[in-house]
This record gives sequence, C-alpha cells and structure tokens, in this order.
Amino acid sequence: MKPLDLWAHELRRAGPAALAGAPALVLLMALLAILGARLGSRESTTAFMLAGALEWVIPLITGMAAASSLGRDQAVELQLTLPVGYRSTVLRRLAVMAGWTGLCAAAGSAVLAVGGWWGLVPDAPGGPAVQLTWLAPALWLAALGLLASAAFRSTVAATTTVAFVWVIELMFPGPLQASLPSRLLYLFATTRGMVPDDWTANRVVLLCSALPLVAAAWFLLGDAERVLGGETE
Amino acid sequence: MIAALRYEFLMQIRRPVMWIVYGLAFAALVATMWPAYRTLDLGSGGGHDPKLAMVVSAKVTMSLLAIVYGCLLADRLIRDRRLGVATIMDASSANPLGRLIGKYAGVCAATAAPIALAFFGRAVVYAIAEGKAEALAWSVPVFATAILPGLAFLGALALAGPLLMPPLVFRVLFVAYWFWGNLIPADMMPTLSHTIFAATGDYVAYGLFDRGSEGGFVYGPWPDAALNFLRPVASPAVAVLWMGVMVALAAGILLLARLHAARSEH
Repeated sequence: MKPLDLWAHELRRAGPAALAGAPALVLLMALLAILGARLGSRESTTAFMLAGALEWVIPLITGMAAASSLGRDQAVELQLTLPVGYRSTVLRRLAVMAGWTGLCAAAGSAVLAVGGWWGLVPDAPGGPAVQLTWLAPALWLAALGLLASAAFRSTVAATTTVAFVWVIELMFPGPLQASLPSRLLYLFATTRGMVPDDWTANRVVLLCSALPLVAAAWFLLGDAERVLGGETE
Repeated sequence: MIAALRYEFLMQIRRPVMWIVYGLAFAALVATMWPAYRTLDLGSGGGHDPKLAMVVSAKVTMSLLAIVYGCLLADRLIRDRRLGVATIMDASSANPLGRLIGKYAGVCAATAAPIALAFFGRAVVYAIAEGKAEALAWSVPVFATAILPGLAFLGALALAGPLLMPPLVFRVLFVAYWFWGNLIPADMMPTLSHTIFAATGDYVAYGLFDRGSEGGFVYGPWPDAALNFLRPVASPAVAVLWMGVMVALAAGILLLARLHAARSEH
C-alpha cells in the first residue's frame, strides 16, 4: 500500500460520525456569532461562549478520539506481523483525527477573528498566538488519552480518564491555579482566568509536557504482548 | 433476571481497571478539593453538623465521581452485540426484558460500589474524627435519597445511549451533557442544571435535609435564568418529586432501549 492509501484508509476508518463532530461545532459557533445578539445574548457572553467552544470542546473531541484509538482493531495479531509498525498506524490514526479537528478549530477561530470576538475575550493574546488557545489543550488531552489507552488497555477506562480530567479542570480553576505547577498545566487558561503573565508559559508547558506523554505511550505500544492482551471494546 | 444480575455484577466488580480509574479519580478529587473535603463545608453549611456534612459529602461525590460512573457504564450494553453473543442470548429462553433489567441492575450496582465505598468511608472517617456517630446514621438516608436516584437515571442513560449513536459521539456528548446539564450555574446559558431534571440531588439536599436553611437561602428559581419554570422552590414534596422523575426517566430509557432492541431483532 502506498502511504497515501494508508492515510485515506484511516480517514475512512474513522467514519463519518466521528468526523462530523468538529464541523458541527464550527457550524454552531457560526450560528451563535450571527444570531447571538438576536437571541438576547450579551456581546461579552457570546464571545466567552465562542472562545469556550474552541478551548473546551475541541480538546474534548481530540482527547476522546485519542482515548478510543486502540482496541477497535480486529485481528491485531495480524497487524503486528506487517512491515508497517503498529505504533505508526496508531499515530497515523491519531494524526488524521487531530489534523481534521485542528482544521475545523482553525476555521472556528477564523469565525471569531472575522467577527472581532477575540478582542472581547480578556485573556486572549493578539496575533497568531491566539491559536494556542485550542491547540495546546487539544494536543495535551489527546496525548493523555493515548497514554491512558495504552496504559489501561481499555477504551472505556481511557475515555473515563479524559472525561474526568476535563470536568475537574473546568470545575476548579481556583484550586488548580493556586500552585505554580498545576497552574502551568492548567488546560483552560484563556476562558477560566489565569495570572496574566503566565498565559504564554502555560501554553508552552502544555505543549512540551504532551511530548513525554506521547513518548510513554509509544514505549508501551512497542510491547506486542501488551497490545495483544488488551480488552476488545 | 437474577442470573444476569449476578453475572454482570461480578464481571464488572472484578474488573481491576474500574477500581484503578476510580482510585485515580478519587485521589484527584481529594487533591483538588482538599480544604473543603477535609472540613466538608462548601460555604453554605456543613462542617460540624453531621447531617449537613453528609449532604455536602454527597454533593461532592455526586458531582465528580458520577461522571466516572457514567463513562464506565457506557460500553456494557453494546458489548454483547460487539462480541457476537447478543444473538445467542436472544435465542435462549430467558425473557429479554428481564435480562435487560438484570444487566442494568447488576452493572449499575457494581459500578456504584466504589462510590458507596468513598461516601460511606468518608462518613466513617468523619464520625471518628469529629466523634459524632450520628453521621453514620445520617449517611444512609442521604445516600439512598440524594445519590441513588441520580445514579439510577445516569446508569440507564449511559447504558442505552450508545445504542443510538457511535460510542465516540456518545462519550463526547455525555461528558458535555454532564457539564452543561448538571454543573454550570443556571444563569450562564439555558440549561437543565439545577432543575428538577438535573441528576445532582440538590433538591433532596435543600428540600429534605434543609441545607442552606441557616443562611435563609431558598433553593429554586435563579434570577435571570431561562427555564425557571423547571426550578420549583425546594420542599420535601419537590424532593420526592425529583426522586420520582429520576426513576421514571430511568424506566423510560430502559423501555426505549428494549423497544429499540426488539425492532432491530426483526
């Protein structure tokens, strides 16, 4: 198979339902941006919801997709004998999903930029750095989902981990930002408030700390017996 | 039905991964909420009054561990179909509705066991640390009225939801629903949270156990919130109504799941 075929296969394998989530979100965002004022939503509230859709929901989608990326393969034992490594297949799968969601998030971010909504979000930076609003938490949760999936060898446990982290981060911005380490790893720094000077550091730390998570998952996925022993969903 | 219940209960409760995930979640909960979880005081009563402390403990347990409960249940019903045993079971003489109810009761009981352990464990710790044994007596009715109805509804939702849509879509929607429909303040956007349809058990806390009565706080309609007609003022009758709504929703969802399965059998 040519590399392009492999990518196309992963895209088809993901299925329309999984791929439709992110565009549906962008559509909802566009509708809210256009109709918000008519529905009686104040400008600042609309801007907050739009930024929230990017910073909360996009990471949830990538994290859940990454957590579900293992355990759905029929006959993994056959896949493990192929010249294409199983690890690269999993990463390719993840890249397809994250890339597609990222494209949609960029479109959503364009909706905010066109309407001038970013200016109404107090903690959002100017310029291209604003893309880190969704990119950093999305990659971090995806890395966490992949690691949980590889470590627990169970889709349902991995998705539960992602869900719990997401909810607890959204619910407790105060306690989580009280100490420096958890502040730098806080996922929703743009919409849930942040010490102003720490925004950039927070995003950079999130991006950098995603790497060891992926590396740990890469290491775990290299163990063929471990991959074989997992729960089928 | 009893056989399905017993089998599903044992299968779920012996899953190491369920205990690991609950353990991690509980550790995260304690770490994040530390001062409040130690005193069991969320600023609206609790602390040294054993009854209110148990109510607060139920609130904390419910708002965070229930998401773990729901997510862990989400693969149980579709699993039979995926493993190809659903058709074999359908061919057996067991009544399909009884099997569904047994499965529901079994997995829900097993998945709720760590929640019960966390809640009653906290009650025991409280009783010893504060020297007030009546906390143990309060913990039983609080668990039965403020936690169990919500778990019954969530269990049915999490079991039946993946029948209607792909599991990935259901998981994202379920987490988003939990945040939107149960946790956010009611005036943030039109939401089911703090209504009679929210699963967090606030109506029991305020209606039956008088949480907030010291400060004269009346739980019910929120200023400037949409859908306020779903937020009656809390009273014992409304608390009972909330329990009824939760159980009725659970029964309705299970019935729909049965009808859905019956339709796809043909």
